[in-house]
Amino acid sequence: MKDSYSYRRLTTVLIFIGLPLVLYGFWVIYPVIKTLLMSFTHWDGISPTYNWVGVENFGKLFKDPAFWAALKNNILWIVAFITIPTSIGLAIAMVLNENIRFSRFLKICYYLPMVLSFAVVGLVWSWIYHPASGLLNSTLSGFLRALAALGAKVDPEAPFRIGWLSNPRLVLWAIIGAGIWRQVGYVMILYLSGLKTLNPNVIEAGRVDGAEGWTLFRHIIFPMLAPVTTIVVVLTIIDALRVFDIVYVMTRGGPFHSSEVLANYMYIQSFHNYRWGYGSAIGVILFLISLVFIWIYLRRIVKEEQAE
Amino acid sequence: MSKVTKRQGFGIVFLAFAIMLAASVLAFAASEKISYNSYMSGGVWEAKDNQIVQLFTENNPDIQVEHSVVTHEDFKNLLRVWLVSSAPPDVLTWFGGERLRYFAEKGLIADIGGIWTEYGLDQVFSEGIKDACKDQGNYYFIPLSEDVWAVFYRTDIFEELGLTPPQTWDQFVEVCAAIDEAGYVPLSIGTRYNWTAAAWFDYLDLRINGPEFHLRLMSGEARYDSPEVRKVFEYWKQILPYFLSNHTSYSGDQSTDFVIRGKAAMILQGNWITESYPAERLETELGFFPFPTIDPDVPLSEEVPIDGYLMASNALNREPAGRFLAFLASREAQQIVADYDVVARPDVTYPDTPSGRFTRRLVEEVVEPAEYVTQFYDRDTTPPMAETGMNYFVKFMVYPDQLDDILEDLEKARQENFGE
Amino acid sequence: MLVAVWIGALLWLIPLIGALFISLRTQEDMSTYGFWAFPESVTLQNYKNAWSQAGMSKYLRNSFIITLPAVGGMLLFSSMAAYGLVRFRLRYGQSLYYIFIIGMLLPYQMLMLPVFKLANQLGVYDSYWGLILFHTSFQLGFGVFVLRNFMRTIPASLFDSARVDGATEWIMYRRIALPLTLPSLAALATLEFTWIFNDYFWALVLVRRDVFKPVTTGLSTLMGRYATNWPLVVAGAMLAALPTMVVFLALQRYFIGGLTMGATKG
Repeated sequence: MKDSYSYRRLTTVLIFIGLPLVLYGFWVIYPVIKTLLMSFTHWDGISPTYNWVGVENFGKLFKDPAFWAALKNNILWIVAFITIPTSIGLAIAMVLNENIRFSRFLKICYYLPMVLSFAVVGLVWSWIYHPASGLLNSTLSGFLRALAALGAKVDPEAPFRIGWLSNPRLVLWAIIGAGIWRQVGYVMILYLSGLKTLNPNVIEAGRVDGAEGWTLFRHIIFPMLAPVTTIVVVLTIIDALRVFDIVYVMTRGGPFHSSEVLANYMYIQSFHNYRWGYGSAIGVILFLISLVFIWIYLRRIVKEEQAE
Repeated sequence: MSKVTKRQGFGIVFLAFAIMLAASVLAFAASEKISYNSYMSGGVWEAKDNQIVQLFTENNPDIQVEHSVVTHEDFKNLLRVWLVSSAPPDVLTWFGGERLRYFAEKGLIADIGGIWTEYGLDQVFSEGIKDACKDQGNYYFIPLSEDVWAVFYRTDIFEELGLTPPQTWDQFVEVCAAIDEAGYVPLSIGTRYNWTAAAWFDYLDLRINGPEFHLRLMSGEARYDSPEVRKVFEYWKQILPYFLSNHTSYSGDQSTDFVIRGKAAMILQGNWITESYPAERLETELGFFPFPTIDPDVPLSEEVPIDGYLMASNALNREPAGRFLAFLASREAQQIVADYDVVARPDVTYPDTPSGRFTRRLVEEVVEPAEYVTQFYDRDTTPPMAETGMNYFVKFMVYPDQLDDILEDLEKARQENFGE
Repeated sequence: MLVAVWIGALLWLIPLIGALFISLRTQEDMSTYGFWAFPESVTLQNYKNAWSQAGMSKYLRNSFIITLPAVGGMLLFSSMAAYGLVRFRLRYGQSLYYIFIIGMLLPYQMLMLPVFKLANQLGVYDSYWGLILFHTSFQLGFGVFVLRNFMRTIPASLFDSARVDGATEWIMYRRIALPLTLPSLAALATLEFTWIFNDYFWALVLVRRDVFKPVTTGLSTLMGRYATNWPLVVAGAMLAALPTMVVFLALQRYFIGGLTMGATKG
């Protein structure tokens, strides 16, 4: 009787946990391990031998200017992403948290870009940034034309010379701009739900103590939102490390690596040059960076679970 | 109760395996079906490609061709992924020369010498073309067409400004200045995909240092920090102000569009410009001249890259794919592209259409006078070197002041790629 | 502040409204009159061309063929795993849960090469199945994370009394756990639909033939093919955006619920 019970329990466990775990193991866990191993080889994806080379790929990587350019750009993505969408999203959430008219409509305006794929965002923004027929330069030029009509000495044709995606100094920020457009709604949602969980009594107590407006926000509300902020920052950083689609669609990392990011560089090295080992090493770097933030996230969850 | 549980539990297991099984069956189900991936996307090009496939299936009703078109720029990246996959396309479009040899040496494309012998193709094609189809004496390629490079210009703009096609470098610079003065863009170019810049590098090098030095540079024997190469960039620098501004945001097609719309006067391009140029305006509006002479002592050479087809070495359907390749080499198939391309087979007839006549003239006035023929930067040097080189050419066009660093980096790349 | 939020909201809509505008005009109209001129005529021709001639209908269909089974699969398997993690006292249950979380936060591009190789070895490269299997598996991380937290809130007494009545785990999973988690399943489904539908990277790596391409990679094919015709290309992008926008507008509550469940565990 005991035997048949434990047999049954075993099959149940195997079905409930085992099946998903097999899928997960095959497509996620095993690939992570294999990428780690491959980063120590010279494999080209074709030959039968892996050709173990130790840490040589990493040594080369640290001497590769394109790798540093990509890493620097990823870091700029991170910096831009944790500052701009986070503060805009929080500010809007603060306003929309009050009962104001048309708040549903306002929310939708900010949310909509979030549900678009990066392929769509990249394409639409490629058009917006297009020098000769794009929305941005046309608008700037129209604006200058209006100024010129009023007598100002400006050249309405000047904006058509701005190459948002071709100027190596502008390109990265132009793409990040498109990314921010998509990201703000997401941050806003997280803060809106965070604001709903705040204890109104504490805020009321603050008001009684004379805190208002900015002070109230700075000293009472913002600290109370700290857990949400941690999550927002971690998730935003992860998003910034995952950047690929939008760069691939808009510039392929060009002109000459000016908008290169690690994921794209990894793709190019692996498939374009058949340097799977080298590409894997880039993947490992990405993994190691993200691990720091994954750890922060995980620690918070562990803490919460223990608190229960 | 437990019976039900088990049955349902197994149901799930079964379902999961059924999914896997169905997937693998799906992958291997194709029998007399060949997969053909082509980069001939858009406009006339795509129509011709479809026409060729259609004719083949009419003649061979037992073979079904699964035809996927990918844009030219995507294709060049994705082909590399496909070739290492277990289900590559059986037949692919590609380029001759080093770009072919790179894959042949990695064992990723099939030796199709059998098809060449069986169909007697050896007797059909010229020596120069055959050479571009081979690696170490073995055939890997079916040639379809040659691209002819020249400077194309708007005759109406030239007429309006009283200009004549320049023959020497000084005349060329003067013409550029005059066009610029008149408010047109002198030289259109789109370097979003960086290979277009390489045409300028190639031609300047060929005209300044000659084909012999150029080929030594391509095969890694000459240095990029040599005075010869520096001179190439110095000449290039003289005309940099005349290029379309923001050229790094435009693709090749988009840069051609500037000429078609009459905003730009000249473009250094291959003869595929006839495909996008409105046919009724082609002969009256578009002229061309060979890249101007710089050093009259240097023998005249032109870039004539070769396009065609290859078979993946992992091809799942080799026999029907071979029949398709043989068909692609036939006069019947190549005749289809003859009104827009310079066809590899010498026995086709060029039709009496605007583009057909235009193409004939290109062959007579550009290709035939040339003493030497080269392919193109990315077909004459190794792919990794080409990738780096073309990137730096665009960088030079944007930051000409960084020439010293650029030359140094190029030389470093040469040493890395050619193992010194 | 409110004024700023209004201005911002309208600013945020401009790219989409601008895109809608240009997609209704012709290329000639655009290049002759410029963007800000009043259009000579308004046409749906770009949409028609993008839909049929440029193959958007085919790409959209493929996206659904890939997305729906993947969402179904991930819901099934992640709810099973979540149930298992909550109900069975496994020795390594907690570590397993953390592994799912780590997977959910990975920069997934690092999986590219092994996944590519694996798909080839299993014979699912360049088919719908490769993408379906991968998305189902990769999204388990997020699914398990969300559903486990939700299932933990189901009172144990419900299960205990069912067990007394002789119910097996399977019955309890189906009759108690699933119905009670239905709201979060719906939220998860909405969210996952959008994510999988919007995937570009894996479609690029795992699909070769045009007949299997989802709308994201299909769109870049369109962009290359009609490089000089922005109205047509943008019309294609609008078509590609339509399904996720409709799902979002119709199921907004679930969508937002899903996002916040994942992030601020409540």
